[in-house]
Amino acid sequence: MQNQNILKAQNPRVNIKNITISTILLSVLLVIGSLVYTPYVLLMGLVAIVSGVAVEYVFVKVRKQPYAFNAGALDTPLLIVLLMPPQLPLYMVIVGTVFGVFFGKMIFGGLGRNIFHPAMMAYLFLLVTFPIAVGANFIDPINGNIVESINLTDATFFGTSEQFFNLLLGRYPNSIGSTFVLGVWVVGAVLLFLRAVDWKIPLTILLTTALATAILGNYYPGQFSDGFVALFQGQLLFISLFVATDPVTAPRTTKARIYYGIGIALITVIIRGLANASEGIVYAVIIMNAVGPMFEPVEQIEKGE
Amino acid sequence: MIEFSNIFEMIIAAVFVSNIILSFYLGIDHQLFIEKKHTMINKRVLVILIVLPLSSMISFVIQQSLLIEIDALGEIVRDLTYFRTITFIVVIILVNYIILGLLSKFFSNQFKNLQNDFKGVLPSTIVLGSVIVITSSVTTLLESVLLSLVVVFGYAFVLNILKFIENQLEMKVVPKSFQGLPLQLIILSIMALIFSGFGG
Repeated sequence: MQNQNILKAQNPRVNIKNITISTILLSVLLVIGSLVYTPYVLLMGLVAIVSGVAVEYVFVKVRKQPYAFNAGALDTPLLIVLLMPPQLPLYMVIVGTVFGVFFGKMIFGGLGRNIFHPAMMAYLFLLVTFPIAVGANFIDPINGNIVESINLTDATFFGTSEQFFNLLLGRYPNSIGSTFVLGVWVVGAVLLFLRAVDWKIPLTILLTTALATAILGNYYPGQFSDGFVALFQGQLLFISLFVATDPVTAPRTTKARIYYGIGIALITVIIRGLANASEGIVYAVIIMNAVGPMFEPVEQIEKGE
Repeated sequence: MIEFSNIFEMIIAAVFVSNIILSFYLGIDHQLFIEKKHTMINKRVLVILIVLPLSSMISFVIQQSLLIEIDALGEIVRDLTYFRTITFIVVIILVNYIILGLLSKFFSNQFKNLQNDFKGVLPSTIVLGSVIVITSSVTTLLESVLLSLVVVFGYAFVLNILKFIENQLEMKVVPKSFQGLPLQLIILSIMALIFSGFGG
């Protein structure tokens, strides 16, 4: 009860019940990831959670404030691990989590106050600091070979229905959370069914991505994937369900949320096809975190509602 | 160096990929950063918009005609590039004071408020740094004017986003040692991380 009161005083925007639901579903995805790859994935998750909670605890205690443990402390480290490739060294997991929680969340005043999503910031930081270990060190789930890049732009690669089912069942290399695509769809459906997140943001992102990929694919043949297959490639689905829908960093009105989703999808498609970065949606989400609130009416922002 | 081959690439490069504030770290001005209102920033940007194209134009001409001399065979006869910083400083100060004098003579009422902004631009790194970056990236006079306009646009774009983000924050809950400038620098570094993704 006391915990609840402290939390209520600290964060007006956060619904702890929804965060708990998404944390449980994320840990389900972590277990699925450990079945697809090795149990080392679970160790990565554990290390991330311990370091994330430790950073929050020390930060709050240094400021001599009461510490209230909640699911928000587990949410960010789990997301960071699920975005990483398997077999990432443990010290990189610690570095990423500490950076994300400290600079992404605690500096802005803790849960519910951050501008940028902490997991995205940690991922971006790791991608810039350890570009090979994070961006080009994926593992083929079937034979355990190291693969340098995820296939994001080649539609013919997934042409036959057999290959497409293999993609759904997680037989192509990807990050831990996104490999088993069917699992992400099921978990996402549960998440939407329990109304833990707003369904408008993922729907807008997925629709716009499919459309934009199909249209741009006509003008630049060979540089873009097929509109339908693009929805199953990379980390698009996972991030649009679990990260882009975060109620703290996303805008609050319906209209602004639709613009936010469209913006994320367009930037993702453009970076995927035309720039040399590996996965565009990470950049897209952070850019729209910064720009998104501009779509809201001014009174809405001032009230913080 | 800002690399481009046509005007579209120039806009993308100067606003996103090699933004003057995010990839050259120029124009991070304390006086500008503690200001909370958009109008004050846009006033300062207006002054830079007047000073920078003129200064970079004159500096470019001086660099091409006086500092470097190339003979008919394309070999460098005289190379005084090491002299350029001091030359450009003199050019910028002259341009700044001539404009200030002209404005205060003809529009003394309207531009009285802008006097401090004109003087505030001088110690800032934005004008001198931009002039050096611009003169080393362009090949014609027209390009130097266009590029300096785009550079100022990129600067204003980033500053306005920064102020917008800062106004959303609730400064009460931010730890005291991070309030104000430190938090702005952290937000800027995050934006620099994002904008690096547009490369290529």
